[in-house]
Amino acid sequence: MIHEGILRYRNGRYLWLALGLIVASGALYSTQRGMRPAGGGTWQGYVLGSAAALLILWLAWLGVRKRQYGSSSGSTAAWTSAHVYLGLALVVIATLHCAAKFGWNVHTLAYVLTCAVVLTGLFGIYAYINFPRQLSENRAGGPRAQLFAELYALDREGREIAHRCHATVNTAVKSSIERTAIGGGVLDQLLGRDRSLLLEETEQSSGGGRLTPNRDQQAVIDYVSTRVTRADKRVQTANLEALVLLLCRRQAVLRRIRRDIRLHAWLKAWLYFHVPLTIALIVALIAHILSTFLYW
Amino acid sequence: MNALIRNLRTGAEGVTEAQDAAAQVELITIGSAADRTIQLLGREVAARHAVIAAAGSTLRISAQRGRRVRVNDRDVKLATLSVGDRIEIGGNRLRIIGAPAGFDVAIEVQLSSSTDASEFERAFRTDLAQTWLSKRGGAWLLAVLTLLIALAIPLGMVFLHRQGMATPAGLPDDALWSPGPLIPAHQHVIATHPIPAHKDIAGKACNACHEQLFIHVQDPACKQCHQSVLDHVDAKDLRLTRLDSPPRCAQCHLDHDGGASLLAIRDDSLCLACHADPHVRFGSLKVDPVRGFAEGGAHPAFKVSLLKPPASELGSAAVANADQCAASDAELRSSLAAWVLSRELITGAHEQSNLKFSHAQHLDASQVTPALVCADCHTPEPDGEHFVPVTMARTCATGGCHQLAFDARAPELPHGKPCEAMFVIEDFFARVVSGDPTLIPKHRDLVLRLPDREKPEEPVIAPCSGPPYVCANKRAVVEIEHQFAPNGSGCVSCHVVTDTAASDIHNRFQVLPVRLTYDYFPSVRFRHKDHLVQKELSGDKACLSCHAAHASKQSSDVMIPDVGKCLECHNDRPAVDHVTVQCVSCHAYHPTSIIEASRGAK
Repeated sequence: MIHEGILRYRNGRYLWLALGLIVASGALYSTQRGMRPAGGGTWQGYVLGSAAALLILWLAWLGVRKRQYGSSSGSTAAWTSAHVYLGLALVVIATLHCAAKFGWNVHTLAYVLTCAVVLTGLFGIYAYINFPRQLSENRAGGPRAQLFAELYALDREGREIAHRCHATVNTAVKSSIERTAIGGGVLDQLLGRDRSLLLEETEQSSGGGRLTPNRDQQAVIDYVSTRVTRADKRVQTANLEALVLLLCRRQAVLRRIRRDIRLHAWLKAWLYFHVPLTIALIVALIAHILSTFLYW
Repeated sequence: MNALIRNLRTGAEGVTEAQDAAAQVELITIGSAADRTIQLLGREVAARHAVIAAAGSTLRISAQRGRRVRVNDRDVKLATLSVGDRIEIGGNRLRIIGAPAGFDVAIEVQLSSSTDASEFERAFRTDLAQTWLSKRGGAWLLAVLTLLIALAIPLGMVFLHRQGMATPAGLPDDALWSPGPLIPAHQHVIATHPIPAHKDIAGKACNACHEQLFIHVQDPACKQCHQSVLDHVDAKDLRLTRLDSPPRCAQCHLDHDGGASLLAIRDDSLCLACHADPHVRFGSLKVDPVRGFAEGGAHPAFKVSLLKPPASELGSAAVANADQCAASDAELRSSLAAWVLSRELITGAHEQSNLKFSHAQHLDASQVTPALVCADCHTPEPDGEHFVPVTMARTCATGGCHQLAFDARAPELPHGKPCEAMFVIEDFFARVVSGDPTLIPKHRDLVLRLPDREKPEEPVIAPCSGPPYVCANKRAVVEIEHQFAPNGSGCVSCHVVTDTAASDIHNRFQVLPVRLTYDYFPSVRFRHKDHLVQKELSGDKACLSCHAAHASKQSSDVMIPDVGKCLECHNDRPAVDHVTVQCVSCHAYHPTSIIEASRGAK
């Protein structure tokens, strides 16, 4: 897979670079003996802190760099591979910089934000490794728009067949098409929540009806299916059978669409945290550095 | 209203077909969503794009927020419609036509020929970007929040505080910048530090120590409280060196580290930075180079501080009566204050205590019974470092060891007052010669001898045939000579006495004052208490492992071990069977008052 390729880029060149960086930082950390307790205030602490700060800025710049496809400085795969491994190394360097001393202050805020950014990034790697394959399998190779085109065609056909059926069936099917919910809000997309409804009209009542949940289109399929056995004319039976078949096809298409939306949402959701947290981290980093020198 | 929706479709042979649908609705809704009265697809068609409402007898179309509708080739947000009006939405064309009977409104719909069914996705929100989630918005929100809480508000509070203005409670302040908790004493300082310009209002104030922004904590801030601490190098010595200035307090004393144990930097490298190469920075100030505390001469040989009597001779004013005698004894005592400390290498050093004393003799069980142990004479001070000074009354005279009686009927001679002692002797013999009946033996078993000697020879008393007072004087002179003359065995047994050969017996002998060294290393910390047990040694064996008292026959012996003895058990680095020591284990960076006193004495 192309996304796994990010991690194995040139035999993990950046993995070795990151490991080298970690070993060098550990060695530098271990030279903090006696003169001052280990921490951000020793010269080793300043070196580790500067390295971590530069890494943060460089890694953040990669986010900008990824949008500049015209850039000639290395391939996107190389940059992304470097981003992943050096981002992980950053947590180690930042921990060594602060000698794992934490408190309720701006310094720990910067550290916590660093960890939060890396954690969201870790989820991003997981998503990039797993979800594209699942998406591809789900769509069976085609684009999502094709699924929607299919759905649109099924909707039209469904309306036409329903129109030829009994009024209550027509109302139910038409309403189930009109009230089919796809996607929606953040949680709807991420959880694949189906808020589809159906206007169920009993034969006795006229004009009125009640809205019932039509999750996964099962309610409308059940509704029409029960009508098949009760139909007293052959034409009606044929129409209803065609309608059930169509509604089942529609259900299958909708399932694929929902899964596609859900996977796609997870594939992108982490970025809505990764990017804002990175910006907050840069601001916290400025506050951290400035406050250190305001009172030093 | 009753609406007729007429869908026009181009059939297989290019014939336009009309398909009518009736709708009983309050509003005619238009958009790509499946629940719209008129469902249109297209790149520019929103799920909910526009509505047509009947207001009385007129129709009105209104586009949803941010959407566009063209009515009769004009972009509008809102328009009144009449029969014949053309509406265009994303390439789809609608036309208001005359409503047939039974209908309130009729609309002809011709879908865009270029519209693809896949555009249907636009009817739904299928991407997170279409929700309230926003990377840019989130970034702005978090960035502004972080900036306000971590920097802007605390900075504002600092500004208000330094202007002496009240700061609002509950807002983040510069305490957020503190990298760690202060030691409890410093926490108290910032809690009670007065706000500038409001000396009576106390508040949490980082500026108690951090007086200026972007400037290191300066010594005056420390010395507001720590007034009695002395600098490592005093101003007089500093002028002799090539050092700029002593390091700031805060270079070694770091706080915000959570514990008092880390308040002072204890590393040897701090000391060695200057003391390893004293010739580089110390100029004409002579200081031995130190490279550490290990074998191979890393640390220079020890120098002991010994008390030396002043060069000047004691006054030799003639003593003619008791008053002058008291003055003479007082002069002897006051002369002790004039002794000076002299630092010398242990090798070749000699004490000048003016006392005759043999440690070897006192520790010899064959001569002293019961046998003495070190602690019989040397009592540790509460500091665990020094010993209570050895004195005649407190040490030698205890347990009946050394009494100052010269006759069973006589009172004890006053110690430390040689002149007065002579008058006591004269007085005693006057009473003996005059046959004083009150003279009775006071001591049952008077043994006037040194422990290692046999019973001393009694002074030979020549027969006296003169007047009683002459005879008394003669016997007194014999006793005084017995006590003080070099060949005698009284006071002179322990004291150095000079015979001036003066004709008057009172002025003839001068007992040199005795002073014992209290602290051989005034500028060094050495806790005897910590060394009472050394590996398998304890008790006297521990003492004697460093102090060769068994072999010391002279009080001039300096029984202080040199650096080699310490190195048997100590090293500056972790080593097998060795206890690690640092410079500051023995040497105080800040001179104590004792060191100051010794400096003054130099």
